[in-house]
Amino acid sequence: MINEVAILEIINKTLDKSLDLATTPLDQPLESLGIDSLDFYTLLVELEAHAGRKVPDEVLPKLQTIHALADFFK
Amino acid sequence: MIGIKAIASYMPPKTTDNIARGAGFGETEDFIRSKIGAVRLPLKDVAQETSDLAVEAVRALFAKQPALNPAAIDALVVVTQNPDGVGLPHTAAIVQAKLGLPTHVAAFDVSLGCSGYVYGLFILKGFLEASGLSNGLLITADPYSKIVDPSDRVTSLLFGDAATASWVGHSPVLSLDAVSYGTDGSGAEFLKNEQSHLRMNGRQIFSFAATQVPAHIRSLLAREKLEPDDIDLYFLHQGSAAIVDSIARSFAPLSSRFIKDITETGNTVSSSIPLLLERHAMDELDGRILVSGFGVGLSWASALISIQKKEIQL
Repeated sequence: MINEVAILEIINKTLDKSLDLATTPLDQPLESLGIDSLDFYTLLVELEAHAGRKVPDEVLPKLQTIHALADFFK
Repeated sequence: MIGIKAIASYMPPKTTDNIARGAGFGETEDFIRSKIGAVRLPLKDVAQETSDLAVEAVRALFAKQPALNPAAIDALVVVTQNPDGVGLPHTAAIVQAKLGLPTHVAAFDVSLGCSGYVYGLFILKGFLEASGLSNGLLITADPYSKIVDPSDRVTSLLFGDAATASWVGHSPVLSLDAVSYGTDGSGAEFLKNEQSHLRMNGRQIFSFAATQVPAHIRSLLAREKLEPDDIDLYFLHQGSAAIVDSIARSFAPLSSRFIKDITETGNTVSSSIPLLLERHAMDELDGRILVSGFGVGLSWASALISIQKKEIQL
């Protein structure tokens, strides 16, 4: 199941970061967490592989926080 | 056995400062260095045609290989999607004339982008073998500065101009062992020339490269009954540092075998693989290499190449 915790784990593993649920603002833009545009593409590839579904291009602008990503992949 | 005997290249001396250009788009120096990978992008003069870049690369090859007699060239192939003019006549014919090569030369263009060098190698190998010919020149020259819109943040930080020339013939330094191709035209819209401007869906191209290419490489290796560990060096098309890193990461713990050399060149389209081979393979004593090109089309091709064992001269 892809929830906020799973997304943080994927971010840490894939993007070599150390984010934790207690201190990470889940409603802040990913950019504020040090996730740039190419990191975001990398993250999407991993999330799509885990979830087995593709994110349509038109939805991307709405998926700019961890909460939004979790909502989409739930 | 026909393969690669020598490679030379040409990069325009003029360059664009990619860190400054990135700053104009609000990108940090760290982003440019670590994700894009190119600090400088070679940029041709406006007056320089694609054929001029090609001619410079071939002249560099002749200078590097005095044994290559221009009169002995049988075939000349130019890989480009940014030809001289609008592509009529074909750039290969223009290059033949500018170089003063004999008229018995077979010359034609191949319209492919970043997969073009791998395709071109095997097209030329097959052409030489089928025609009973001995010496071919495979040229890559695809100056994207002709179509990149400098105000487009998606593409203007990526591409550099360059040309390469590979001497393909018998008794090679690099033998061409096995190849596999792929095409998915349903993704053609993700990277295309739209009214003389390059348009790219960065997310879709990244996703394609990060998923399709590792699967394709593994498929080729399995077909040839090889493991990833059997390959000494991997030479991927240098789309961006992030793309090379992403594909390399999927082959961990072998990631360090994936050569990344993009800092001074950027993405030079079909020239990126021969540039890597020129710099990192031609002087190796022996070993097994995998090359993989991928991009516009969507098109991809991967090949196994062996470095022919050389005797150490004492």
